[in-house]
Amino acid sequence: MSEWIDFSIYAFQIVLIFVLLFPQSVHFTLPAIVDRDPAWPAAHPQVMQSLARSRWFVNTCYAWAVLSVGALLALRLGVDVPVFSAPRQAPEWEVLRAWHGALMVIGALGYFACFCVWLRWLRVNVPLAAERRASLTPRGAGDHVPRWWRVATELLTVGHLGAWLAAPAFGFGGDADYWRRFAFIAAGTALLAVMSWLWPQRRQGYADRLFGDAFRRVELRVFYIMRLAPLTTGAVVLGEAILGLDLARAAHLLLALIICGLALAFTRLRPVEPGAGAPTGYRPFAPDRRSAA
Amino acid sequence: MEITVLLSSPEPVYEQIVRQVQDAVASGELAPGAPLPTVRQLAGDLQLNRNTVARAYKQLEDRGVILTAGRKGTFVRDNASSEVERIKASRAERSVRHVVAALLGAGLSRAEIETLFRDALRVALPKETTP
Repeated sequence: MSEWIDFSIYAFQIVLIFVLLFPQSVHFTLPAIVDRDPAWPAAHPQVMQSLARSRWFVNTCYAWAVLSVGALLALRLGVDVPVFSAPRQAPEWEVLRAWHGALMVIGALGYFACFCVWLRWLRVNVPLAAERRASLTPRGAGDHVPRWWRVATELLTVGHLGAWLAAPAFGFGGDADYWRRFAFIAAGTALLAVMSWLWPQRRQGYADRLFGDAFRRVELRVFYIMRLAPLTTGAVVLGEAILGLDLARAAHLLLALIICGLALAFTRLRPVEPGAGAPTGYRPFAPDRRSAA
Repeated sequence: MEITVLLSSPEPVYEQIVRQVQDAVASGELAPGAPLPTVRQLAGDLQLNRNTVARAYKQLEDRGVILTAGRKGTFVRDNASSEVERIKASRAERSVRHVVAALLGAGLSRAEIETLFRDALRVALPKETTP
């Protein structure tokens, strides 16, 4: 398989996340403030203007995308850059994968850090309004994820962990490294299971008001798809141990494509009509084809 | 069905929740057996401390309006509507007694108090015939 396929998938993912998805966060600045106190923007016009003018976050996202794709392209073309020279003994697809992973993780951590700084600014500067509203309708995963999907996920999860526990009895694995991997996969599975249970109870925010039920539906379904990630990893490791197959490369490319699909699901959200409560200044991710038609 | 709490109100927040749930039950917006959100969900949505919502739920449970069934969740009791009516009637009776005692304390006679109540009813319910 040509390494250009690996490069294309990784580059597509980087562009999708750092050019299309993350920079859209700035459009939620005003809704996030309005969500805490609707009267705050009108009372602080200068702060709002400076927030609207600020471009450093978007430019940083674009710069990271250019740097990341450029680094992967340089690797693919075999450009002699000192920082790439160390792991060159490994196959090229592994080097590409390692660099792509590192660049994505650094970018995601940077985004998370910016998000934390923004939340802190919001909490310090925009006090919560005295009037609060809430629905008396309980929420659950069942509202947006069909029962068959939830049952299938739980069965697959139990079956997968059971296979890991049973494999040593048939002479596969069982050494310290095997159990270390199992502990890692089991911890990931448990974490995602708990989050998918708690997530429906997340408070209604500005995104829910803008996008309506579609936001929570996409969010929950993404969570349930993400629950398959530890299963896929585990199945690949078990497949390699039992069948002697080398699935690592295909699995990583598949995972990258799945992440692209999940990111695209968020970029397709549109404000609900009519009167979605979208404050002035909000721009959707892309022109709404329905309203354009 | 939505509830609204006002932190600047002199009425404690947990009592605002209790009152609005009771009103929803009395008006039929919350039917018997209807599920209620978890304490975590409601506290999160209202951005309140969980203890505040838990206190409101405890009071509603003590008054026989809701029923907490362990992990199944919290539901409106089957006879919640009559319980709410009883609570409202008892609260109204207490309020009226309090007003009457205050008026008697101010030196008004029985006839004057009756006239005051009749006039107040006539203003509040202009279309109904009052004795």
